[in-house]
Amino acid sequence: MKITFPHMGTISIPVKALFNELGFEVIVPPPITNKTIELGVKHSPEFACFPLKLNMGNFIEALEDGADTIVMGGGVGPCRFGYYSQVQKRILTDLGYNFEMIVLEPPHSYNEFLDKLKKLKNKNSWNTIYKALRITIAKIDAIDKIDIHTAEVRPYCQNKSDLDNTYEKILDRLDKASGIKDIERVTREGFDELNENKNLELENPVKIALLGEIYMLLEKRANMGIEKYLGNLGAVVKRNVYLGNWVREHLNPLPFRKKNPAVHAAKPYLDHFVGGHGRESVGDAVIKAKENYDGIVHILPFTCAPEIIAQSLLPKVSKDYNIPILTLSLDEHTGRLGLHTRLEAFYDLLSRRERATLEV
Amino acid sequence: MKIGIPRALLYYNYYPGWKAFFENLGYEVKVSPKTDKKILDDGVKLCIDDVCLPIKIYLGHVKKLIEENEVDTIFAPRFIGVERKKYLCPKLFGLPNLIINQFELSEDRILSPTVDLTKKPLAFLKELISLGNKLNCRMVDTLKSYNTALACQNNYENELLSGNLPLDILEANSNHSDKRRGMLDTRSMLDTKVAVLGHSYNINDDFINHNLIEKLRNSDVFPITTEMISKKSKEKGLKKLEKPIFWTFGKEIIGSAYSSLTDREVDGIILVVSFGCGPDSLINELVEREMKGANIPLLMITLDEHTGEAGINTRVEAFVEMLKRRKQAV
Repeated sequence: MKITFPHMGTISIPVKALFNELGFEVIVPPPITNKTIELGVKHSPEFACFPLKLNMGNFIEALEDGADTIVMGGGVGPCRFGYYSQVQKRILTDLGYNFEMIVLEPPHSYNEFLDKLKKLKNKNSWNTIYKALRITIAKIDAIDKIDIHTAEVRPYCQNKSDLDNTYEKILDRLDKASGIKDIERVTREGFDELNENKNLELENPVKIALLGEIYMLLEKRANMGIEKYLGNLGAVVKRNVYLGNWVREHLNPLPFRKKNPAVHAAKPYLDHFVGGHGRESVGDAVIKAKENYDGIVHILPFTCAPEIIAQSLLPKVSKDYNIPILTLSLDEHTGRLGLHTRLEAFYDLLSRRERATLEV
Repeated sequence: MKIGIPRALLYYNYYPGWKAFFENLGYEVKVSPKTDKKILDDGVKLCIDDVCLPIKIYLGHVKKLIEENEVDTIFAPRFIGVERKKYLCPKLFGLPNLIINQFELSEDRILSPTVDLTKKPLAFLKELISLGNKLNCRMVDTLKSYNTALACQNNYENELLSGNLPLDILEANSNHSDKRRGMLDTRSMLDTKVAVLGHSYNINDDFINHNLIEKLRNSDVFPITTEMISKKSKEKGLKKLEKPIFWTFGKEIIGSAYSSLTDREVDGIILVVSFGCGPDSLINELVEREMKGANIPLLMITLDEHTGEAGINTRVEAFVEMLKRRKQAV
């Protein structure tokens, strides 16, 4: 069994670790390139959301590399993500690929659930499984910490490409790290190395919150590196969602979950679940506005219904809290230059507002 | 007190029930007029670009009701789902919030009970009772009225099953009904039957779809919509799927389309879609692939505020022509 799975930001590092620990051969799809996007777009429904298309590209490239089993997330609505796997499976089968698809989602029958579990358990002892899960979670937490810290130091670095190199090196080491102790050491050292790049003095850099649909936030190829771009301009960027949030929300087998404060914060504008993360986007915008961020960038894949609802309500939040909000709807037609021009203009607006308030 | 109902979205599915419910409680019900250019333009102005056409139209209707000042309150339910484990579109979940946000309506000017039968049917009953409370009705009256409403609704749905379209029944005064009567009588004689599948608000709003139904009828084609296909035969079609579909409209469309594979009752399928419709982007892909394999002709019509009538005319004419030739050739 040669397992593959779709990319989503850096998720391949912990997921690869998980399946390796369980004794499977893993074929990580090649990094997303223009070719991946082209392949995905060519073989996906035109109005499917961008994440589905990128998934398709990943799957085709991984199957070409010899993978025979796809592990994919799922769900039971109303967000389209819940039905991705079915459509993708149909298209890939029509293309002539021979593979098995294991969909991780609330099962519709007990037998089906046991069947999937048996396949993935792979004759491992519960002890091995426990160990594998611990390593996976440790890697996720480590990546999140590194991601957050990189965004924090980025504006303070003179040479941004040095910082990028350091970041890539740390991720590479995390990928190779094999035990909990090792992961912790790499993270600690990573923090120091990131700090070494800091050599600029900045007073009150612009603070931007980045929020919206989860895949678009996490997958840098899909959002064209918005976080990095804004950071390079000089802004401290904080996302509302990191990898760990997604994993805890989607793959948590326990019935109890922590209540998301965004749900409460969204209430005056949106008092009902709208699928996906639409309600969280509105709520987090309110929270970030209250936390005195200078501006908010909201990103969504083109035609994402839940986020369109959020987008329709955000102008009111912007007005009530006097905070600029920029919404970007992205897909394969989005041009890098156009996007960067808009981000630059937004950043300029925020830094001027900032100065204006300081002078008063 | 006058209650205003926008003639858009699920109006086409549930109006007879709603009307009976409110009238039995002693309220007057006023429906906005048929969609026209002004309503569309107003709706487009009220929404961000990426919102789909049906939602834009809906907001246009709400504006019309509010502006004409003839109604005291707007009935705009929050639709989550109308059957177990099946949802409607996320945009319908958030619709009341969009309306309140957009028009800055005070609480007494909008009635928006949550219709959620996805998990607990009792939750809906509770919503109904609190709706009655808001209207100052006794609980007994509310429940009685609900019962009458259900009967009216069932009647309506039976009429649909027998070959009527919602627009035939709801707009009985228009020339549609004459044509319909003629059609129903000659149904057995008309040999070209086309399944016109899509969300009811796209199929039944003549303005949105540029008189698609009338066009078909004028070319002696009998349009069959999801409402006319029995539950049983839809279920038969749905069996082809590995995983149940969790959208009500998607289920209806795919069930109807797939049932045509075994029943062979239609000569072709026209899929009517709103531009950028999320769930439909996946549903249509599955329908298209299956129809290709079964050699059933399919025409997809995508609608938005920029759709021109001439384009639709050409495509529908060509499609119908093709179907008729195919029939002769056999």
